[in-house]
Amino acid sequence: MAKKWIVLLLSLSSALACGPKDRDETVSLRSTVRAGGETTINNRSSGAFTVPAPNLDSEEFKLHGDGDVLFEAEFVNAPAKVHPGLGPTFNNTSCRGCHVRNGRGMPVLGEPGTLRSPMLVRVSLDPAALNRFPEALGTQVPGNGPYPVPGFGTQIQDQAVFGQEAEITLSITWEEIKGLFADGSEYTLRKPKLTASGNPDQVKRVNDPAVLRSIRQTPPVVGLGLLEAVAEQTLLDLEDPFDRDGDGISGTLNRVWDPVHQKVAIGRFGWKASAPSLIVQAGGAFAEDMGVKNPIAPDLDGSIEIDLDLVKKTAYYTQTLAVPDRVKELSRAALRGEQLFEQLACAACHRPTLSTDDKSSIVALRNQTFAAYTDLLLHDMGEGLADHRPDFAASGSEWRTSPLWGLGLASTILPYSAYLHDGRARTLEEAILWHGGEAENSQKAYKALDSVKRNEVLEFLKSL
Amino acid sequence: MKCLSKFGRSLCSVSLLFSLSACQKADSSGTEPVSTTESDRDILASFVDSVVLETYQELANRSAELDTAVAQLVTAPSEASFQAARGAWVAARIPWEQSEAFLYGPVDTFGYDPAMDSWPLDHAGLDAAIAAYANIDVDTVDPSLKGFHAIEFILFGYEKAKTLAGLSSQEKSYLRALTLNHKAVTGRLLKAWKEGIAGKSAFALALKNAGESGNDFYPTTQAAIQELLEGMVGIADEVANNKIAQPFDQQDPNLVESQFSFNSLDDFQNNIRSIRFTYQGSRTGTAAPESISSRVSAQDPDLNQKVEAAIDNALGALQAIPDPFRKSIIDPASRPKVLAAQEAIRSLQEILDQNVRKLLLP
Repeated sequence: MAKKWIVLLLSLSSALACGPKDRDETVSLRSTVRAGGETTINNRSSGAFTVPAPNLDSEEFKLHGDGDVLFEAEFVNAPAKVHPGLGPTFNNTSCRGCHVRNGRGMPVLGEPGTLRSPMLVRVSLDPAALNRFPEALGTQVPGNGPYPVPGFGTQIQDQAVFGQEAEITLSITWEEIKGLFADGSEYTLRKPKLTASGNPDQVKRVNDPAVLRSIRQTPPVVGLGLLEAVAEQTLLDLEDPFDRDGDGISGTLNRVWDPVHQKVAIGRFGWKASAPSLIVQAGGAFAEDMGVKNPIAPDLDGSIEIDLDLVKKTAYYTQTLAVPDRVKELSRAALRGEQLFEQLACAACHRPTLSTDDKSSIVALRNQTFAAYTDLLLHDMGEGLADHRPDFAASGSEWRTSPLWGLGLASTILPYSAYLHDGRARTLEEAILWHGGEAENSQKAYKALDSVKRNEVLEFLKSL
Repeated sequence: MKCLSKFGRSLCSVSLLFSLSACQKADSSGTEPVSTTESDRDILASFVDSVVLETYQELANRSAELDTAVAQLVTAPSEASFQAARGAWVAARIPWEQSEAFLYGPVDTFGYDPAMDSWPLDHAGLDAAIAAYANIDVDTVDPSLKGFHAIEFILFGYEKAKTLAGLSSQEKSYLRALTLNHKAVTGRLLKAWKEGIAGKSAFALALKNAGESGNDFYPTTQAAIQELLEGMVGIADEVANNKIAQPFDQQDPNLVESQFSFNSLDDFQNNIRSIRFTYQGSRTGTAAPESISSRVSAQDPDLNQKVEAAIDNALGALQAIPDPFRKSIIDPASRPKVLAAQEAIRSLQEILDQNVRKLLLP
């Protein structure tokens, strides 16, 4: 599936320009594909994910601004004059509370003090154990989705408004694992262990082997409108469920429930691609993460706390953010790393470019070719990363290829942040080393590199 | 020059090496470029030491003083101690608003911004929390129940109408818990920059050592300089197009921040001063020798004058709006003044975003 596709354009003018950067022996190179097509900006500061796409017209820009206010809004317990509807139980109080500067969240859960829970835990019932949970029969999410856990639903809300009980209190400890590179040098990985405390019945329930749990880190929200505007057929053409091309890498789309259209649709968003669209993602997050019920995800009795327009504007904000371009002055190491990225077949799944068609309702997103480094497909990532919690068609060891655009800005946007679905990887190298399953060969090939070449791969990733 | 194949690409690199050495020769015989890694680092060092650390130190000091004043109010309530506590809140608010051109780093990472400055308040929750103060750990309660605005609400009340007699003993106790927590959080914020917390290195070093190998926070000094610029542009945008525009456009005084103490217009002016301090690399009102101001001045003195004038205009236009802001936004007589202030701040934003950007990040 890997294609040699990258064409580098050496910019003659910048190559000949005499400036301080030349002294650092860097070269001016530019991939022909800008990170976000015409939505691209040049920004390597901590605000790089918070800028509106530069190609929005004035009406779109205004709508984006309305969404910005909502994305930042702190919701509070009703009744209140401003932004009521929080809770009674929740994970955080605003979108940005977890998506710090629209990037990832800190890899902590139930942290005492100021951080609360930027990570959350999805749960579902193992269908094989339904005989022990008769009350769950008939509650499966449509489209062959997960079975909610009685008392928890499909997500644990570990915070509550003042005077109410959180469902349970969660915390994380980390277990360290050592390993060796081919050149004999040592590395240390860590993986999370979840601990629940609080109401003994709830603790017992959440620790039941039939309750499947998956820790999820906050993903960045940049460039999502472009991913949404890729034609379904484009993605269907990328699927290779039976590995017909024999490269050891399959790749399938998730098929999930779309509550807006009341039908099964392909999944694009979330760590397991379990959301079909950004409005469904936003509505689900309002309801599950903040306890703010809405027309996409109403309360059991059908009641809502915010209207559809508000959810739409919030989704619109995530659709119309600019994508920061990769660094302008690429080091030689980064350039060599880019070649290694292809040679190690990383690009087979982290597909460098995708294109949108002309159908998007947002003109700025039409006919764009962009460099997200994803195929939006599910891949088996092996036992090491498996959460053993299927989500619609995604198995317990399948994950959607994470986009890599803006990856080099992760530590600028949120210092001390982390990588992978549960924040277990403290560095980009640790993230690579966790790759297994379909990516096992690539990971082994990386481990076989000497430290200079390993660093080149990392320099490439940091240039994104 | 396109390099289509790997072979072609390596050829490109070779030819580039030649042009690089040519450049270095030309450079050494010509004038030094204005922006170098070293001069960038000098600007960053002045900014961190003389602006960020000083501001956060003052915030920590004044938050401690606020706590002391509230302790006095609780133990020896009098009109004098009540007014002293109110004054201490206003004093602590100044460095916080003067820090808003640099709301990045630990203030975000560790959730200190929401813990200190959440808006709006959860009024229903606040009543419940005050009633239950003895049984709660303020460190763990919702941001909307603590921080500057919860303290402000208890001390000032709606329409700044709170009186000493109206302050219940339960309110006083919760207030003290809030100021103790606030003092602790501002102390942690300072420590995170100055020394580092939770096993992390001091965040001051992330900016000061920008461009050093292994610095993933700011891999280049240009990224760090851009951080300073975006911080200034961002707070100008925030004041004109959010803090003022939200309540003004919707004609809703409930949306006004710092409305209980009637401090909104001072907040906004201190935000603009935050831009000046960042720009000048100093909080004294005189630009530091190594600052964005000195760099702009050296290359385009007129632009430097324009920036300073735009800052003065913005401050003047804000001062011209009658207090309290929550009334001015719905008073037709004040409308032109609010619009003029927005215009002045947007003009400052534009100069920074366009002209200063071109000069700093060519």
